[in-house]
Amino acid sequence: MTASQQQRSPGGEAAKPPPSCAYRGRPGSLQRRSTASAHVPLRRRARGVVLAVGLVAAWLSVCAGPLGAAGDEIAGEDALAIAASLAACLDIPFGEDASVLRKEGDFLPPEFEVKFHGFSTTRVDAASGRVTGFVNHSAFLESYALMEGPPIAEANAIEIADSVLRAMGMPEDLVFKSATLKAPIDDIPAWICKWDQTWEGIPYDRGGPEGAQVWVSAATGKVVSAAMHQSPPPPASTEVSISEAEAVDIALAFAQQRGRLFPARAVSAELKIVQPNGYWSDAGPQPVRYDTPTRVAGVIQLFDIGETGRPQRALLFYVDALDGAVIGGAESGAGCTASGISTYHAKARRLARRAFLLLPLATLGILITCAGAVLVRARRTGAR
Amino acid sequence: MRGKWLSGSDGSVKKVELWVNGVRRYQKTWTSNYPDMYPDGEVCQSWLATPYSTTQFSNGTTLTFKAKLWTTNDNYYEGTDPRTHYAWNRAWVGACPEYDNWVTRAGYARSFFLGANHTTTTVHTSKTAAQIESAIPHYSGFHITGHGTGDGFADCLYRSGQEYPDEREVDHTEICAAVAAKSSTECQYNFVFLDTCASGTTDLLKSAFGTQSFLGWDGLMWPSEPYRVFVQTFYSSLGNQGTVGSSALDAYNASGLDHFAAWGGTYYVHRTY
Repeated sequence: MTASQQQRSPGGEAAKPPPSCAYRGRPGSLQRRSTASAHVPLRRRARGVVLAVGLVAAWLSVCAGPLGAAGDEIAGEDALAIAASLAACLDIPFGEDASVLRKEGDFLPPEFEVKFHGFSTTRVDAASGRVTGFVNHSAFLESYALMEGPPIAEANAIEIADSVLRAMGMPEDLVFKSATLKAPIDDIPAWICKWDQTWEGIPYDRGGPEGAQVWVSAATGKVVSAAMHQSPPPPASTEVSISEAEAVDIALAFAQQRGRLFPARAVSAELKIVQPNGYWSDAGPQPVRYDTPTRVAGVIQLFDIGETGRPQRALLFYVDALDGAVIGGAESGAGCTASGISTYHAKARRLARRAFLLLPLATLGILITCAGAVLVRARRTGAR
Repeated sequence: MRGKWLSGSDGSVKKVELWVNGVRRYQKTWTSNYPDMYPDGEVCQSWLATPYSTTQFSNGTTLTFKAKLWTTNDNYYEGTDPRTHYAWNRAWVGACPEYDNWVTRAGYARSFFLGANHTTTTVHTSKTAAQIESAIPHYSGFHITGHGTGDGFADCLYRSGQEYPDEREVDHTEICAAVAAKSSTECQYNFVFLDTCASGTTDLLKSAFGTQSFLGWDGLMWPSEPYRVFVQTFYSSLGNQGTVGSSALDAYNASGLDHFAAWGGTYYVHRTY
């Protein structure tokens, strides 16, 4: 029986975590990048291992520590070897037609994207050689076959996700955040398990790719996707002198000053590490890179309430935790409301229509009832 | 090409061919790692073959599809799609120009459709509901980045604190009516991405477009970098002959966003015939 078969649990049995690989990723912070002099020999050694003893051994070298360094990237063939080793370790079909592509943007650090066995993907950080994510497309397809069965238990899913992240070299400062049962594709249920990347206990917030997230098929218990994103540099200071209530007041006042709010409502307020983007500044939004310096801020979300009381826009403010300055945020579009609020939007419309019809009917009903009561009373009085 | 063709005694797939109008447009042969297909036919392993070619038939051309398959046990199967198909590869791409981020995202959609041999002219901006509704019948691919709720979407022209203007909102009932106005030669929707808030909270808007292949957001959508990365990665993967599901997974993995909603997970959007 293969490891993948062991994980299948159509009868609702506890699915098993992936097999323990011979390696363990070296614990360390994702944002701590290696120095050139310290890791060039490791890179050479890894290449030698690939040539000499094959792919699994290469993965051992990779996981023992970062391969490359800033300004000294790994090569495409290194990324291929790393992806092949990960696939072997986690029992993901690899095949012979793998391709590798170097991708570079501003928001995410340069990385190699390795495509293999149809649509499976492994992403490898170009500087460190660390695997930052993979998609096991075979596991995704298998989810279709077993989607009718009961979902695996939450604790089981978290255990599986945790073991995969550890195999990828999970940093010590990842803190478990949540496991949510969702069905993002074709209503196939999946456990989305998330870990926050933290610095001195404060989570990062980049609006999406921060910390780690693992997609575990709720039907099979197999890991469909895992990502461990590289966080920006830690903030220079974590000192906080603005309270949550003060941060909310600052955001509300700022929004009103910008003419954004009628009656306002704060939806959430959290202390997080953010990258200032100047969204609300006079100069307008500034591009954010993966290495843009960070600050500790109160992240305040508000709803802009329209004249009729319907939420119109969601507004986000980063209020500097040290001096109270608004250092960034975002704004959603008109009618861009959270799913619950969206439902509210639709419901409000329906209710308004219903009220339009029901009010005259209700009034008529009350009148008839009253008239009936008067008649009955009159009859009774007459009978006496 | 679906798994239900095969029985348990057929073994695995050795070779497949796809023919369009009597011409072989795709073939693939395996010499090892033969793909398995589910013998009971419950799962369609459509990933086996990608009918991709650079040939594009003129819109309205009648198309006949035939598939041929050889198994490792030397059995041979062929089948012709009994439905009538017409070449129709036109995509409408729009964006609310309120944010540069949104226009950029629509640009990824346009690049994808162009790469998939769809006729698409420009990224439409500042369109009224009437303009969008009059366009809907005549396209087979649709993308818009802009405003939205769970039951409709809009280009823009929002003024702070005021109502969502009716002349800008395309309601799901209006989408239905527009799709129903397609002529017999205008193909049904192949793929729709409503890159607007709450568009995938339910399947209401997907159903309104009458498509099996749909992507939307389950909740808020922001004009921010993670969303740009998601849309960029999604279309890049789709353009690399991915399915809607595999491309959405790639985008989820790269962007960290987990509240998308996709239908047609094993479906190829490429229709280059």
